[in-house]
Parts: sequence; C-alpha cells; structure tokens
Amino acid sequence: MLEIKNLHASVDGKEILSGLSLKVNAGEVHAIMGPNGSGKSTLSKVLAGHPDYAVTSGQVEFEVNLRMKNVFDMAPEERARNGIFLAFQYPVEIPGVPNSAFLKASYNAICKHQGAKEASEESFQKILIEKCKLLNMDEKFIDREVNVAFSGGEKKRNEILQMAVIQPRLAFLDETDSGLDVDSLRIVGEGVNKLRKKDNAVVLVTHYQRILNYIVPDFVHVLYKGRIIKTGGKELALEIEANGYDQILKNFQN
Amino acid sequence: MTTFSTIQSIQDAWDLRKGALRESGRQTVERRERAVNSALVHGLPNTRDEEWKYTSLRPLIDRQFDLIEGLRHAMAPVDGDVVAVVNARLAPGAIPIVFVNGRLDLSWAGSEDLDSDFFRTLDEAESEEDSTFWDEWQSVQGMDHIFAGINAGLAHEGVVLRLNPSQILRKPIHIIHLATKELSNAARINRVVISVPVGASLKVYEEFISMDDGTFKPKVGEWTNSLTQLKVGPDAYCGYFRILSSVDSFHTGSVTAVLDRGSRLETFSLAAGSRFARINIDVKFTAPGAECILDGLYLVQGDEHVDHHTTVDHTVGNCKTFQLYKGILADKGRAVFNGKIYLRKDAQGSEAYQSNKNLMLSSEAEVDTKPQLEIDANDVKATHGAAIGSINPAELFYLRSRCIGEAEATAMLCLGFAEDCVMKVKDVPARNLLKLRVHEWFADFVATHELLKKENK
Repeated sequence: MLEIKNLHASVDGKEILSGLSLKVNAGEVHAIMGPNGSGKSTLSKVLAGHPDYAVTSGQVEFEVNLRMKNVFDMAPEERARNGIFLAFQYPVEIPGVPNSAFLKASYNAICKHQGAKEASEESFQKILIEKCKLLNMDEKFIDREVNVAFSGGEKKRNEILQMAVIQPRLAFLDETDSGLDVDSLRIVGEGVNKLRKKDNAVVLVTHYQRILNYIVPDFVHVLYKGRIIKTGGKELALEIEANGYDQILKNFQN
Repeated sequence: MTTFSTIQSIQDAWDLRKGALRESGRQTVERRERAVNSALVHGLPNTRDEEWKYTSLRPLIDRQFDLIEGLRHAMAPVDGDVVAVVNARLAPGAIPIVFVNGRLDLSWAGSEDLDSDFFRTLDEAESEEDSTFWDEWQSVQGMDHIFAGINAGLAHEGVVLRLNPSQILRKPIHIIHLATKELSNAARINRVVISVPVGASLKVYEEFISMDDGTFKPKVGEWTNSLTQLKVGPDAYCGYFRILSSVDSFHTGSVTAVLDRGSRLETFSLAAGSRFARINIDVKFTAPGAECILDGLYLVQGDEHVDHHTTVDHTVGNCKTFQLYKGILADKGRAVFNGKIYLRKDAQGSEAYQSNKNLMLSSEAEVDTKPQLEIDANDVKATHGAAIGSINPAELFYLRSRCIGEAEATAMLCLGFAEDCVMKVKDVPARNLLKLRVHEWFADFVATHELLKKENK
C-alpha cells in the first residue's frame, strides 16, 4: 500500500534522507530503528507533509481506492483523509481547543471525505467514550484542551486515541514509546494492537526493542545516513538491543 | 467639525440638560456642572497626549454626534420589536435591567427580583442622596478621564444598585443597553453605580448592543458614553462582565472600581464589534487582602479600532492582581492595550501578573501594546509581558495531519486562542455567556473571511 523509492529530502538545505526505499503491504508491521540523526523522524514528517521538509527527489506512492497515488500531490489533510496517520514524537499543545471538538472535527472531515453523514454531537460523544474504553483511557481526556498540561505518557496515549478515531490504513508511530513508563507502554502497545486489521499497516519508528514485545514486527529496518542499510525479521531488533549498531555499521561501511 | 465645536456641542447639551435637572435640586445641578467643567477644562485630548498616543478622537469628532438629539431620543418611543431582541440576548436566569436608546425601560426592571431595597434609578438616587454620597463616587480613581467626567455631568439616566451587608444575590443582573436606528448619529450617556457592601455578593453583566430592522448585521452608528462604578466592600465579591457588540458603534466607556479589605473583583471585558471604542478600567485597592481579576478579549476586524486602557493601583499591601488580555486582529483592524499596574511603596507582599497576547491574521492589522508595571515596593511578586504573533505553524500542521482542512484548522486555532482566556472565567454562567458571544462573533467572522471558510467538497 506504500512504496517509497529513492527518496531524498532535506531540511534547511541539509540533506537528511539520501535515497531511502521502503515497501509496506497491508497487514504488515514494520519497525524502523537507527542511531540518532539517521533520519527516522524526517521520514515520518515527510510522509505526513510537514512544510519544513523539502523533498528533492524520489517518489512516494500510496494506495488510494486500489490505485497508487503520488503522496506529494496531496496536502497534509488529504494524506490524512486517505489513510496516512502520523503519531507525533512531540504532540503539539493547543490551548483553548477541547480534545472533543478537535477529535470531532477530524472524524467529520473523514466522514465528509468518504461521503458519509457527519456525526451529531451526541453520537460522536458515544463513539469517543467507546474508543476510550477500548484503549483503557480515562474519559476525562475528552474534555481537556488538546495536550495542554498532559504528562508525556498522556500525550502519547492521546495520539493513539486520535488514531482510534481516525482509523488510518497506515499508521506511522514516531517514537511513540519514548518516555513511557511500563504501564503507559502496555496501554499504548495493546491499544495499537486492538486497532490492527488485516487491511491496515503499522510502521514503528523506535529506539528500543521493548515496544516490539507488544507490537511484533514482520520486518525490522536499520536506517543510517538517510538510507535503509539492513532489513531483517524481529530478531534483528533483539540483536541491536544486545550489541548496538556498531557491528551493523561496520559491515555496511566495508 | 472642529474640536472646539465638539466641546461647544457638549456645552450646549449641558445647558439644555440643566433645565431638565432643576427639579432634582440645586445640589445635583451644581455637582454635574462641576463634572462637565472639569472634564472640558483641558479640551479634547489629542495624540500628543501620552494616554491618547495611538487613539485619535478624530473619527468621533468628524461624525458630529448630536448630543441634544441624543437627549431627545432618550425620551422618545421606539419602533421595532425591542422585546424580541432583548429576550434573545438576556442570559438565562438573569435579572434584566434594560436601557433603550439611553432610556431606562422600567417594564423590564419592574420584576419582583428587583426589590426597591437595592434598586434605584439615577434620578431617585440623585434626589435622595446628599453630596457626600456623590462626592465619594466622584473622587475615585478614573473619574478624571474626560469621558467619565462628561458622563457624570450629562448622564441621561442610570441605575444605582446598593446591596445590603451580607446580601448574596444569586441571580446575575443583566444590564442591556440597546440602540435602535432612532439613535443613529446621536449619543446615549448612561451611568451605573454599584455598591456591594461588607460580605455581600453580586454578579453583573453589562452589554452594549444595537439593532435595526431586518438586516442581520445591525448598523446604527450610535455613540455610547458609559460610566460604570463599582465599590466592593470588605470580604465582598463582585463579578463584572462587560460585552460590547454593536458593529457600527462609537464607544467611550469608563469603569471604576474600589476594593476594600479581603474583597474580590472579577472582571472581563469582551469587545466583539465596535467601529471605535475606548474603554478605561481603573481599579484601586484601598485595604489589604483583596484580589482582582482583570481579563479581556478584543476581536477586531474591518477598520475597527478598539482601545483598552486599564490601571490597577496597589496602594496597600498583600493584594493580588491577575490580568490577561487577548486580542485577535484581522483585516485593517487596530487595537491598543495599555495596562498599568502600580505597586506603591506601601504595597509590600503584593502580587501582580499581567499578560497581553495578540493574534494577527492580517499584515495590515496593527496592535499597540504597552504592559506597564511600576514597582516602588521591594517585597512583591510581579511579572508582565506582551506577545504578538500569527497562527502557529506547528499547531496548524498538527490539525491538518488529523484530516482537518487548512481553513477549518485556522478557524479552530483562532477560536481556541480566544476561548483560552474566556475559559479562565471562574463563574460558569458568565463564562457561558461570554463563550456564546465569542461563538456568535466567530460564526459571522468565518462566514466573511476566505481564510477561514470551510472547503466545500
């Protein structure tokens, strides 16, 4: 459903992605690991359409209605409506905007996009409460301002709540596990699992193997200097956890 | 018309007013005359005057408002369905006090809720109270402003609310000043005097609106000169929530407040529609342990001009001031925020927090902000700051990445910016009323600005 070919991207004129290629099929779970500064977050942001990142060459195609479409032809909101979701590494605080109003606007934007009827205040409230239950989250989340005065763990869980409301086909989770305590990690991991279906896919960008205990990857990729230099199964993550990146990088440089 | 003739027309209006006031007694006439004379002694201020640096009175002067005509309208019957308009505006459960074109309409105020114990018309209070009573109201901080002085002299009508000690009025009082097309190019001058004595509690909404027949957007073009005075006694509470939403209006409003020991004053000034507005709010602490919340929001579009000048004077110790003013400026809108907080040498142990934040939606809009702390005491906590910015790109991207279109996302961020300060209002019914007015303003704002219009796919 997603095909990235030879992608080059830069921020402030500095190239971060240098020929990245990746293919993700429906039903798969991919993990992208790599040392700091290898371009993991840049990849997430480029896919979501962050205005600060410039794509200099390469191609990214995403399947929309059974046809591969150029992602760069779509505005960020169009990408999202077509099923690409980015869970932010640093979720943004939006003072004055209640979580419920924010989520309802998201939900209704998708309804409209799919030609379905928009949800009333009442029926959406029901949907939200249902999602909170599914993810084992406190309903108080709903009434608070978006991410304002949320703890780190709450912000990450709020990202998963948004994912539950939007129900994307491709979820890119950018270091969603960073800064989580064990309980939050479990809630997030189990939450993502509950949202998995055979026709959607998950890409986990992470530093740590531990979230992969909850969300088991089919593929683990090592990103280095803006390219994927090694791909393996879930055992590759365990190897990195045990030995670090040194050996892999050495082999690559040779 | 020149500045001189504006002053002349104020003088003429006073001469006419004088005749009608004779019945209220010599004292009233003399007192009012003093107020007019001292207001006009220096003439109208101009932009060379520090207090008027960013607000020229030229639009007001050029409009040649007829003060005499205004007086006549205060007495004349009105066309149109005033009842429907007022009913649509009245806050649920509130006690109504309604002025139509500056005239107090007692058919609203006559309800059983307004017992004569604490409610009097300005006329009644002027003939009943002696000069000490009035001198006290006249001598408070803020009464030296020219428009407060003009009001004290020329006020057509008004109300005096004086609670009993320890009286807790649960229902809010909703004062509505309605202008109809009969008031076009004329002035209304009304005074509201509120005393909340020891241990008492009162909430007041004061709202300035206009209507005309048929069109959605009222265009009356009246001049309102209002004066609202609050006295909050020991351990008393007063909530004062002010709403200005009269699209085509000219508005000069003065609010004075005096806070006694251990009292609390919560104020909010919402300016959501006025062609030209200058609002002065002056608060003075006279005894320790009192607290003042002084918040506001101005929503400025088209070629509107809204100026808030506030002063809080900490003359005694252990009082607290919390001030947050926010503004959204679109099109060629202009706003001024000038907030002074004085922590005098005897204000030890005081706290003052002041902030002004502005969201600019257009490169042609302008805001002049001057948060100002003057500290003469050494044992105080105080912060102040001002910010001017546009829509935060990180916030906008976040919303767009959640399927929300750019225009809708921008509108959500604007509304969020505005609601952020409304949500700080502690009193729930007041907060709901302010929220409703902000939403009403936004519905119209979104419909008329391409930047915020939802895509129609």
